[in-house]
Amino acid sequence: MSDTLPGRALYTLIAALLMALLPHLLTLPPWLALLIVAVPLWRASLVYRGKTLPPRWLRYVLMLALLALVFWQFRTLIGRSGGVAMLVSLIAIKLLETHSRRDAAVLTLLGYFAAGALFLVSQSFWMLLWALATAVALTTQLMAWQRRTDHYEPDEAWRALRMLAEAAPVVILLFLLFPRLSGPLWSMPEDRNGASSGLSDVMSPGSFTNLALDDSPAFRVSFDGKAPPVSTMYWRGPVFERFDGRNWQQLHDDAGVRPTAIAVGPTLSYSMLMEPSERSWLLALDLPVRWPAHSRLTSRFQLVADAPLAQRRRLDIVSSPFWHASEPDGVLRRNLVLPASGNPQARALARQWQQLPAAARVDAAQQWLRAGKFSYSLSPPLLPGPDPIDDLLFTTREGFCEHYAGAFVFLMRAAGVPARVVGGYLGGERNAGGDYWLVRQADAHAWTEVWLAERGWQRVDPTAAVAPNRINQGLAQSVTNAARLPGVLRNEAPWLRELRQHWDATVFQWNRWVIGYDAQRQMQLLNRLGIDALASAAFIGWFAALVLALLLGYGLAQRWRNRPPPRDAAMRCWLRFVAKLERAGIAAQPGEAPSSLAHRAAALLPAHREALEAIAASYLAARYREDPAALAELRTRVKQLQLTVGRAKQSGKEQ
Amino acid sequence: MPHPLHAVLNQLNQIILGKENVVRLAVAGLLARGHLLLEDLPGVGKTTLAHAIATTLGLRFSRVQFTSDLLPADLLGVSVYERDSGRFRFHHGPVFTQVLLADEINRAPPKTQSALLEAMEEHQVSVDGETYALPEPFFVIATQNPQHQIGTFPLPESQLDRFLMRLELGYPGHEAERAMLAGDSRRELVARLAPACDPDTLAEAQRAAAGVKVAAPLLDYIQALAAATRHQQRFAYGLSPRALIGLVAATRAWAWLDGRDHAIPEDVQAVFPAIAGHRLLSRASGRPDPLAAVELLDTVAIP
Repeated sequence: MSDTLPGRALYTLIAALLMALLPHLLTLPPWLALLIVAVPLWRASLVYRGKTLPPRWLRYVLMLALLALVFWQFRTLIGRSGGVAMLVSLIAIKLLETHSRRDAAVLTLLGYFAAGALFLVSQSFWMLLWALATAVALTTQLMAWQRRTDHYEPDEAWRALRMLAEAAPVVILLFLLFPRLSGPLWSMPEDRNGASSGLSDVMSPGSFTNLALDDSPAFRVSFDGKAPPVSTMYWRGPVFERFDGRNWQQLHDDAGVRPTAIAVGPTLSYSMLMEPSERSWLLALDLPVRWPAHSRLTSRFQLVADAPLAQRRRLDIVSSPFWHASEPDGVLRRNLVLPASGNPQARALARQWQQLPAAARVDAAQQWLRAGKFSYSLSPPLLPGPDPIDDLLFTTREGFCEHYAGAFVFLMRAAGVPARVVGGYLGGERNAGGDYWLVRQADAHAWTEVWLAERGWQRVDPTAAVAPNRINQGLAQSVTNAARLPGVLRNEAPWLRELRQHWDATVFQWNRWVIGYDAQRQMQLLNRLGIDALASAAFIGWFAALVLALLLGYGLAQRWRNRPPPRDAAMRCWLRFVAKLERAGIAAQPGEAPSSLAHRAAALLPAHREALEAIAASYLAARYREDPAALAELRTRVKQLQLTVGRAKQSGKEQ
Repeated sequence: MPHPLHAVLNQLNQIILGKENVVRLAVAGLLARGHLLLEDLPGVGKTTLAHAIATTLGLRFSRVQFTSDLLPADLLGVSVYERDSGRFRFHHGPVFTQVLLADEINRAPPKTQSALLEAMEEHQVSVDGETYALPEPFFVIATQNPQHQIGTFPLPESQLDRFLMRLELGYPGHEAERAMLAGDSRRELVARLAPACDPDTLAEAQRAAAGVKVAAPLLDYIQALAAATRHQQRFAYGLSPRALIGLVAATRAWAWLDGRDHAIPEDVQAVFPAIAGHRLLSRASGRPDPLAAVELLDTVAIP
């Protein structure tokens, strides 16, 4: 076998492929990943010990066995998980039959493909760095085995890096201009199966308490201009209106009801980068007045997307902190409904305030909470009794935001003030370097809204009455048992905090400008470049036409460079002769010299021997001695030549 | 009227039986002022051919058997101190001749091989800072055994490139071998050989051959062949410009021997395998690929 791949090249190929496969392997079940990794390592050890490749039947058995295991695990060989597992297994198996440079070329291309598919695993900044390192490794080994010799050249990695750097402008141009679809290509159903995290659509005791332990980011926000005070950053989520005695639930949006609210005063515009969740809720500040496409404002003034957020999404929103709403009577009546019985002590307390004006009832309730020595706790005692609100307010006096919000709405409704619970997030951590706010799941919060006839919906946060620090200084400063919180939420060393914030800022910019660069933003960029009002189909068409034109131009230039030399008179005449011979059943061979062709033809057509040899001689003289007399003779002889077709064909076949 | 060189061909063909094509190529190579490399098994007549060529052309001949302990001074000559005159005097080595037979050149160490190569390329010898011109004409006919035999220093590509042609004699045909066995010994025939030519006639023939017309379409063909050697994956390196210059010169010589004043593609095809065979190394093995040149001729179209 010629063209054998040198040993060192094979080691580097295996190493580069393992780099491309590693993140994929981490998504597979560990036993399968270990099984797949064993194959390239085995191949490397075969080279090291100088052994030959396993026999063909064993390779087929191994391949079928691995594919069967993949199928058994995923029940499919296509789709994201199954397809990636199959690709990874096939790359590993292919190594077992790799011994020539041609195989290495196939594997290198597969390696680039696997490196590109890394972004199916994750689109994080880390993955970008890893994919770049993989590309350098693949290119380095590509250069290693493209050379004929097997000695090490130290500048290979450097040259690979330089080549990739030279490709960077094209990559950036394609990234900015290549037509992109408004949705992802690979959002397959299996992506939705993950356990949902974040806010839940039912508020029950404990649902926010659990979130407080989750330090994963919910979204990041950067304000255009000055940020509002952190104590007013109430990121509005689901609104809970129905109380069944224990849980608070959302009501379905009434069909056809459009929100009626008037925004007054200055507005805030900001850009949010939402982490994927299984919800369609977009957490905006009150009251959104401008929001992105494919989302709407519900009659509870909550901004929701048309589809759940399967991937990270960037949103540009404008909100107006000052607003009035008018609500139909049906809505207000709904927000006064309480269960028929239960919690008698709370009802009795609320009854005392019924004579007061509505605004005074709200103040009285807040005052009562403030004076009641309530404590704000991550692990309040369970309230299993039939009257949980009575137990909270008069017995345990220990709870988290959802307990106080629920109890406050109960008191207000019992006192005759329409009220409801609002879920969402409060505040966030400011990243000074990146000038943005990071809002974590732990910042999940529940507050209330009360309806005052002259002023519309008013936000009242009973937690502010119980634990004022929560509003201004965050969770860690306000709960009684902060030690239960994850490390980053408690006080951490300043240098560690700075490092974490720097990294988070880098990731934020990556997500905001690279991952967040979607079809809409591409359109904006093109508009700014003067390509406006182009339907995306037309743009794709133009782009494809441009690429095709460039390729076509390159191809034509190549043809022009490799064009055959112009044909002179003798050559044209000779080609007529060759065509005549071909019709007579004698085809000229590619490298056949004129006299050899004439001799061969003469052997098949003995009757024409003289004419054929004379034609060859006059052609050679005309073309290579540039003899005009020979050219004239060639012309007449070729014209006069009459070959008997049938006989020649027969004798040609006999040959 | 036949040219004296045709008498030379006839004489050579009477000594080396049944190898008309190789003999003609050898003479064409000398007409093109090129050096020859004869590569074949021992005993097929390499030395006899070289000796006969020198004798029949009426040239001075010396033969050096290359061995692994041959030093450059053994070949080029040495400066010796003479007490009488109190000076160094250069004693000319065997290289100062018109035809040098370098027998089994690949048995000598590289240092000696490269000493010969300066003489081949520059037609001069430098010893101790002095340069001595070689006589004209100057030909090297080197013989070597096939490379895989043990105890050899294979010539590197750069040195192979200095030889215009590499020729193989091969076993004689049945009839030729019978005639050889029945007739006089070759050694005696060579000893009895009378020169059929002289250096002046040879020089004139070289000038005449250099005047053979090579038309532009023929140069296109030669360049197409060169491009094929440079682009095809099977070759380690393509043909060098020096090889192409040699190819044109040999094509002219071949056409001149054929009695024509212009060269045609048939001439290129006749000399191409001898010129390209040792220069086209297989990418896979790093060894010359003897069949490649013939396959190229079959596949590259004549423009």
